[in-house]
Amino acid sequence: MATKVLNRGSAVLAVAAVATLTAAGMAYASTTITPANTPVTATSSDLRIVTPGYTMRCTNVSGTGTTPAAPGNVNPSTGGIDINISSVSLSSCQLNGQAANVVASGTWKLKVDHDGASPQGSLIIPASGAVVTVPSSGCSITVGASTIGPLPYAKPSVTASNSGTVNFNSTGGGVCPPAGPGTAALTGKLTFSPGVDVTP
Amino acid sequence: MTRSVMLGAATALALVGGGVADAAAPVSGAKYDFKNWDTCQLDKVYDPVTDLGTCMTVVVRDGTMRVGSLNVQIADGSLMIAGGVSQPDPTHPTNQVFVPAANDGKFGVYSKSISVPGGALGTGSSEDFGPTAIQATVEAVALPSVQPYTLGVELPVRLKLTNPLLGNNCYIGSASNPIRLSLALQDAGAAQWISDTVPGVPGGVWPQATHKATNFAVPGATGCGLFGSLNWAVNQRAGLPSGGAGNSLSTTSSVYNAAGWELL
Repeated sequence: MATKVLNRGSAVLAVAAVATLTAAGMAYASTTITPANTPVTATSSDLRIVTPGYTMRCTNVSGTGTTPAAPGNVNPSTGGIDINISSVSLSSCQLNGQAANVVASGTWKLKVDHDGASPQGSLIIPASGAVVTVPSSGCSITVGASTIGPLPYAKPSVTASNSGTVNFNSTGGGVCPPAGPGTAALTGKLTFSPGVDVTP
Repeated sequence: MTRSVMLGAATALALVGGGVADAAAPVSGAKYDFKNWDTCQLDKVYDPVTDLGTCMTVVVRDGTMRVGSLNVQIADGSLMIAGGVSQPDPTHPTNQVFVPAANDGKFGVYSKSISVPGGALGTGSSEDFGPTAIQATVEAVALPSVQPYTLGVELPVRLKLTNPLLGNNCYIGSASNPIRLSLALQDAGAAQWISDTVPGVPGGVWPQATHKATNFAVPGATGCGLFGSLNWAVNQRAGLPSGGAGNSLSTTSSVYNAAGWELL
């Protein structure tokens, strides 16, 4: 009985999906990225994380990764493909115009897909993906696991404009946000070199 | 006996017998408030090479000051510190220099005169007016230190007392021996965008940041009355000089802040 219900549900979803695809004319359910198995760097000259009253800006952001080797560069269904970005570095950073130190860690990811009418990407920050320390204030801000996006991707860049939810935890004190968890938004353009094609 | 001599004698007696006064203190003239960042000398604050430098304005919203035996309520908008902070050496970001709003001799510190509650008599609100009323004005005697990292403020000041009989040169503290107020942040509170209340202006504000300075020494009065003839009376009235114990300043301020690059 349960199987029949599920099958009936799947059939309805399939019909709905076909109808949607037909109506949209440009919707897809697969993603291919090229080139495969190729080292890429991601850079930004102006990346901002903002929450009311606070603007952290870094003008020298970089990370390195490798596009998945075939057949991992093709996802025949929805869900996109992850490009892991390691060795993330955020320097020349400031908080409200004052120098701040940012130490990134873990593997950041850019999940790209062409499941919709146009390519898009989500920036995925791991737990404790960055720690911001503010000199002399004795306070720090830890960026927690966050997914920012999906954001529009136009080769070679993904662009955020006051987008998404960046989770953080502040120790409070000094010029840091009040102690405890908070959320911020991301603004900036992350550019890949060489450019990565994201196609259906 | 002339009227002024009589008033002088009355003032001296009143100052001696005044004791502690507590009352809300009216502020003269329009209160200071944050308007925009034209108080920030951006060309001196912001370094386009390092991208560092920040503009800051502090408007005191409320507070109480206890100096010797005198308690003064600080009214909303009676004191404003305006300017910016540069970081001339990016390798030592904590080496910061306050750049005042203007080179007008005020060191970026702007103060409205406040009535000393009880005036010279120390009796009641009626003494806020008339010949025994005393107005107090905070004057910076050197550049303050405004710390963007900690939101702390170091303020070397003298207090100018104005009264027809005290003359125009009556001070508590001096340029060489100021009252050194070291205002430490107690609680910054929640921040918000300035544009929430002043549309179109970039930056953030901590609207209810609390600071406190304690145990600061307060020197005796100088220049009060003809040839300082009433210094003793002012000292008696205010319990000066005071070594520091018990002196305090507690404030609630709006601290406005914008990165230099946001104002380009």
